[in-house]
Amino acid sequence: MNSTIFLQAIVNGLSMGSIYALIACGLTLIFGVMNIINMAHGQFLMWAMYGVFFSHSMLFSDSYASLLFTVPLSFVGGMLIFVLFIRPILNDSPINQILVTLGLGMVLENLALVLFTSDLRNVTSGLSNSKIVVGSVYVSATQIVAFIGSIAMTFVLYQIVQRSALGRSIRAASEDPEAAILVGIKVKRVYLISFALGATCLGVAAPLLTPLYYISPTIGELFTLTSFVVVVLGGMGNFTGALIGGFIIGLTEAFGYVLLPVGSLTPVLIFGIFILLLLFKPEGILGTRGSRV
Amino acid sequence: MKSEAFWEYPVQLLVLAVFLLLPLWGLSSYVLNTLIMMLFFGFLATAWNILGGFAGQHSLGNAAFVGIGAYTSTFLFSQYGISPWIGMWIGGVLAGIFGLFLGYSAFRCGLKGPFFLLVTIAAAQIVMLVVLNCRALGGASGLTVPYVGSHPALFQFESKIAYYYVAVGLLAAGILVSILVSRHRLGYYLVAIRENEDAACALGIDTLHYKLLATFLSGFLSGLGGTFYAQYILFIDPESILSLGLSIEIIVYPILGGIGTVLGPALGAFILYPVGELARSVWGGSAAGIHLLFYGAFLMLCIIFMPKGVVGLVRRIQEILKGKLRAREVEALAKE
Amino acid sequence: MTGLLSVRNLTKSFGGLVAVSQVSFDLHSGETLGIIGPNGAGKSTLFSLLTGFLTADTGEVTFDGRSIRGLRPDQVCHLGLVRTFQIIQNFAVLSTLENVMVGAFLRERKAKHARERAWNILERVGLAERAQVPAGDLTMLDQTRLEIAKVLATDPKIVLADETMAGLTPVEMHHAIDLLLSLREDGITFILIEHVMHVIMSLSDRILVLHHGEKISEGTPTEVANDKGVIDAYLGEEEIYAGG
Repeated sequence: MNSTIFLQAIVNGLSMGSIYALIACGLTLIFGVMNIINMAHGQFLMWAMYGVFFSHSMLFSDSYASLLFTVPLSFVGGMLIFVLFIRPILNDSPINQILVTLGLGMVLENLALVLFTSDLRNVTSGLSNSKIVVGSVYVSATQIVAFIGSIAMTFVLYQIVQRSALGRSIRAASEDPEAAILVGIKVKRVYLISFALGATCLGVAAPLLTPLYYISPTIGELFTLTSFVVVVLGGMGNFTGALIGGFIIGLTEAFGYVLLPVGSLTPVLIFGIFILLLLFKPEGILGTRGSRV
Repeated sequence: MKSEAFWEYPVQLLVLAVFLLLPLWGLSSYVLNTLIMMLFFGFLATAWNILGGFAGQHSLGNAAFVGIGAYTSTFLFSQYGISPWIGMWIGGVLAGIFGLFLGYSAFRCGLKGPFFLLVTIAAAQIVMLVVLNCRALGGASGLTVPYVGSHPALFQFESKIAYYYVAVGLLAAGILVSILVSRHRLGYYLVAIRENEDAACALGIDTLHYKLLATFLSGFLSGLGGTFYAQYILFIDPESILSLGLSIEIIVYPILGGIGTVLGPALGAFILYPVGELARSVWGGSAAGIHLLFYGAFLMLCIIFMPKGVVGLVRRIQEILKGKLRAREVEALAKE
Repeated sequence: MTGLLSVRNLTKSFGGLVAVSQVSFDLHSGETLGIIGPNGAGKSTLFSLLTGFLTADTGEVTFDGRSIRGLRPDQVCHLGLVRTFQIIQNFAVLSTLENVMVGAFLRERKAKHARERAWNILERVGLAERAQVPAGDLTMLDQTRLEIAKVLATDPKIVLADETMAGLTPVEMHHAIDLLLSLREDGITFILIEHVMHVIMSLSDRILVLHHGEKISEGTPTEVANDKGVIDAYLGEEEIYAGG
């Protein structure tokens, strides 16, 4: 492999990896706080991406401007979904919780199929044609925006959880919900906001992702599974882990496509890593089972 | 186990008789097709239930079993001319062995609940991706079963009615296996493992052994179902027979009907498949995923409002009625 | 002469904490051995080590002439060493009869025979009338009976009963003691863990006292009750004696 392909894979891996990290942060936040395994996470993202597509085609000239639309909407949407579907199952068995979110994912995916058809959509940003060329390696402006934007949002989320009063409640509720109730924290409300924040990660991720990735109803499943791999890799409920995991998976994918004899077998590599992790190191690479958020 | 106390055999035999006589009505091809697919999914749900229901190990990768069965028999038939009737058993055994491999890795490492479920998803995705990239198996464009006209020895029939009877036989066999399991030691052991693995272990149950037995049985039956699908549709591709969508569909029926009961899974398919079919026929042309939309909604609503399924609901109503009857008897006695 | 069960220098630690340290004892057929000790003395850990739920770091367990260290719980159970749990572990959706059948299947392959065996045992422990009730709906006393019935159904050589009396009212406890006494009459060998001192004193032939994982005393109930070391270990837990 020559150095151009190698460097190009790194560039692609880092930009997609940063987005995976952001998506996974949302998933890991939800899991860390309320122990819900959200199998509809990728489908939320897919809807947010359609949000970008439609707001771009109707309202804004630049797709990045649809942040103004997708961020508040994903926050409210997250709240709504929490109240309707998650709150009733908070005390159910983990399997039942998975099945409900799985059903939710099915509904969201097929509703999108019915409403938006299976046509692939593309969104181009004003930046889509700008790129930096270093030697023979192309770095598109959209990749840079995706990278910076994702890292920034992850950082903001981390600051919220670690530094703010809300974050203190979130951490208390995740560590010991009963004790949190005793000290006067409204745990259900904390759950609601955490879930909405988890969805907001997707509201931010969608505009960053759309210039780089096509939109279709079925991509949700793919992103759900990929973000699970990232989350398990980093340790469920672990932010730093999700960030590292995102980059690992992004780079693995990028290199898989150029290194494997059959590039389209790359997901096999990723699912293989996933299975081995679950079997032998379910606490993730950072290896602190139980430490959450 | 008194699992089906209110549906003793006479009722089951009556249902079977109705199904056997049904085609005499001269049903339309469309209705017959719906019934065949309903029976087929009832069978897959029944097979899932042996591991997921009795043993409580929820697999979300059963499409892999179905796919392995379908691809094995189709490959053997189209390449070597081996009759699908034989290929069916080979496919079933291969699917069962795949289940053993998967189950051994997962159970040996102590995976339970959600983690087992995630591993089965990933494993099934790998099987799908491998087939997608395997030219000998047709890749994304799938495999066509060579058409030989009416040839019962090669599992091909001219009339849908023949397929219908094969499907009835398949489901009857699946339910028979479930009955046998639930009435014998294996069934008791599986439920004990599901309810409390440590306590089961303390009573001398080799839990790994019995979980693997259930995995093999579940995989084997699902594999047989795969061959039936291939022979009926005469075409298989990864999208239709190896996808996560199929695995989810297989799990929805038992949840609606009643997980861990003998008849619940098939009952779930009998209720939900026609609903999906109806939705497809009403909105069909314009909306591809409409039936899956319904399935997803059913899945959510069932878990939230009816976690024990239709069978559980019926039992509860019965208990309430019994309670009322008893209360009335007591009242009558008091009056005397 | 070593007995039916012989334990030598059994040691288990979790991280830095030594839960069971150098414990040795023998048990003869037909005998009832009581194990007492303050909370966290390592009693339940000892049970888990004996029945294969945990593997000892060092030491040896010989049962019926063969080493059982490293065997799985189900293998240990097959040999005839069976435990109950401190927190009652029923198969809640199964009926009382079916719960006992699960145990009976260890020795009877056929459901019909297992059912007969389970019936006999239910009658023996006084649960026959509750046979069709889901185990989850039983009273505490009946749950205790069921816990013992399940174990008896496996035809054990030694029953390890972990705090069978936990959660029972004094009256219920009385019934449970009667049951254990009558089973002892039948020649069943017991190892009992019990917090309630008068229970263990009246049931045991011999008592072993654990403290911080170590055996600090062993002897007849009277000997142990007068042992200065034991009294010191229990200092500040007078309420336990108050029961006796």
